[in-house]
Amino acid sequence: MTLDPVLLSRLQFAFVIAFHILLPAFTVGLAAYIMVLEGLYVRRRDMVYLRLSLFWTKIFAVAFGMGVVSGIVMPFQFGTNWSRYSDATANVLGPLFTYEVLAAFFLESGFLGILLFGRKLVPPWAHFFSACMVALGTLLSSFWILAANSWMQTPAGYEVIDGRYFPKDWLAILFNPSLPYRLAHTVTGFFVTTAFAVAAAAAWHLKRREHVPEATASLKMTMGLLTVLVPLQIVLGDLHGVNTVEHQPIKVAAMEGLWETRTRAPAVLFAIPDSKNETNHAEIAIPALASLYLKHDFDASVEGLKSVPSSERPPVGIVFWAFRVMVGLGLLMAAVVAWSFVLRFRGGMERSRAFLATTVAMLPVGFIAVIAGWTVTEVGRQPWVVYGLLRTRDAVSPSITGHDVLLSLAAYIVVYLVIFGAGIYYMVRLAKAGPPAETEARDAALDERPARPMSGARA
Amino acid sequence: MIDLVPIWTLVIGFGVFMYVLLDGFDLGVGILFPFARGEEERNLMMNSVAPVWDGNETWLVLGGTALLAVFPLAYAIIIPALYFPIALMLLGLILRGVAFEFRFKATRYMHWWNRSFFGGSLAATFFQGVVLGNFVRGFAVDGRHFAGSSFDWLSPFPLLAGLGLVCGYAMLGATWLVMKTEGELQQASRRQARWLLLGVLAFILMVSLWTPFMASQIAARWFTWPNMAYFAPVPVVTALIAWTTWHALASDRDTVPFLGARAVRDVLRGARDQPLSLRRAVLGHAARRRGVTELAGLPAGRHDVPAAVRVHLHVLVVLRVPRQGARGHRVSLKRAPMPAPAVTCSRPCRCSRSRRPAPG
Repeated sequence: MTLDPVLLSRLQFAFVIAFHILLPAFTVGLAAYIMVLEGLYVRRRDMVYLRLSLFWTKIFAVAFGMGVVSGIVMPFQFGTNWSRYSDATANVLGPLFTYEVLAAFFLESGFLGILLFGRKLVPPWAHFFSACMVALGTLLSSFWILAANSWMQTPAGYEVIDGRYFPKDWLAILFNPSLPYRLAHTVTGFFVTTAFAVAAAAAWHLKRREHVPEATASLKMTMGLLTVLVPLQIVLGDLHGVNTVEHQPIKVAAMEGLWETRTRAPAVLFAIPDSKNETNHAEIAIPALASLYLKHDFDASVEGLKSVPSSERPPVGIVFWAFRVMVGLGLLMAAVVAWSFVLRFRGGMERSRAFLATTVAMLPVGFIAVIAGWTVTEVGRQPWVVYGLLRTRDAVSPSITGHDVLLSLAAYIVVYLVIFGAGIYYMVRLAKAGPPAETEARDAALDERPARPMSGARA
Repeated sequence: MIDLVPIWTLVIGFGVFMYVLLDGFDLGVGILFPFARGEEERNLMMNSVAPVWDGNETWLVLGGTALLAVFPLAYAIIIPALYFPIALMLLGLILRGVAFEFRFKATRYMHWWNRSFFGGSLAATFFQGVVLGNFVRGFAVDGRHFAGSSFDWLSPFPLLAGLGLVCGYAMLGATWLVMKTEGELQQASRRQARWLLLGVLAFILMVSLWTPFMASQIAARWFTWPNMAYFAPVPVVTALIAWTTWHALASDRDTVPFLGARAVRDVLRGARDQPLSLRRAVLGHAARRRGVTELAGLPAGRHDVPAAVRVHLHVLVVLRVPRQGARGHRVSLKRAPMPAPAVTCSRPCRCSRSRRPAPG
């Protein structure tokens, strides 16, 4: 049996980044939430916000620690498995990755220490300022890494010398055509994911009638935020789609399951795409709808997969279904938000058992949607690693064999399952324990500082 | 335009140097973990490095990304050549990194996180030594690619370097514990440090004798005039520092051994192997291709300033880690007796609240 190092390297990269992205999906939003709670506490001096902040900071510390260790793996993946990609693109992307590291290190790590342990050592405004800086650091970090990713999707501002890419215009590289849409859509997705996770914890406590003031406050805050963000995210997703049609039409054709280029393109609701015979089985579709939402015109022509040779098409089935999972979960979130909106006006959101049970069940939904969306954009870019320029199979390290990658992939899978299993277990345990009691919170705010960083996360 | 290559060589060399210096002792504490007698001592050992380990490790990430950004050709050749040592080092770092978090939360499975902390530290250190040994040995290159197989690293010299680094980091860890702990743990660490110092000297001797036979470029550099004159003080200074460290360990001085242990490592591995070999690997490959400066990918080398500031802050943090033990300010996690507060009152934890009015 021959093992393909390219396929296995792709699986390995997909595996390590899928696990890693779960943590930013949570910490970017959580850092901002902690910032808001700290701000409210500084202004209103209400202990509810302090207790909520203490509670979420503990969980944030664990997630952040896991983000650090799974993040150390990423900069080495480009070298171990994708050395030809590194050689070709480093002049353009290397500085972006370096800025990402610097943003993450200087702002996040520097101020995280003050956020976790400085409560008694610095004045309240400085503590709030640290919370702002940590939130800003996570956002900047996302900006740099998404700028690099967007450049791989829609390269701009470069020149090719000897098959390698050199920067010509840094502004064009940074603000390449897909960056604004990708950044907005991804970061909003992170916020929505975190908000649903926070709401799930609050609903769980409300269902059990414990920590009622904190849980009520946080449920109302997050549902209010989601009422704005979920519709916004649907609009942003639509704009991102329109942008993708313009720059990566074949990716959109795979997302929509469209084989033929045609006007009045149908929106396929369900189908089993068959790449071999270039057709869909069991298709259920609404005529002309895809033309409307992709080009905002019923009669517009939409490019199909058959417009390019099969060697330039992504794996259709994965992209098609990942897209449906993402959109389906988006609509589910919109439905829950609409329900919360009705309850908010009728009153009793925090007492409706059906609503609370649904909100608890929504905990993983944001994370799954983030992974699905990431799959759509990354698998949809195939067979290119840099769209239209560098094929994935030409990017892999020439020296590694299929067996090498199989061995390392197996090792990563074993270690990640243990680490993430334990991490999720400890985070859930912290979440179930709930915010600290009144006296405990006061002690935490005014007592001696803990001896070690991250010991703030001790249960 | 200024030539960025020497600047960035210094920045990365400095990053690696800081990493060996800083992460060296906390990995060493991990390696010494099984020799502790009981959970109480293990708590002390872990607490002594817990405030600084993650800061120490950021140097590694900075080194990795800076190599990619500034010397992409070296990155694209060296990293795939070291496929398994790097993967195993990363897995080791993950396993020991989460142990800091999880060990204190675990109840039933604490011993598993003890093992994960020890095994991860040992693996990360050993494979860092293997990486270092391969640097000295050099890599098979064809055009712009590594031309060997993923198992080329598996040869006697790198494995010896791996064992040497385990011994060296363990010595750093032991001297760190001499500096930061008290009582029986400190005494045990003193004894361990002396044995490890002998081991380190043996490894230094072996590596130094072996290197010129294996890498002819290094032999040429060592044994030509005037380089010989520049390098001549290295063995003398090493011997002097080793002698001082040995005697400091025998007496009751706590800080000198740590500084001495650092110096032994720095003078040898730092001053000799790394900058020279890094320059050799990076510049050698580059010069053979298309001139040197094209490899510099950044428009301007601005990062060295914040990096320097960061070192400063971090070194301060490292030196301020309090001594762990019964006399120390913060004791074990079991919350053994705290020093009596200055103002006494009936409820000890609620007294000094004067800094900020109680909210709410």
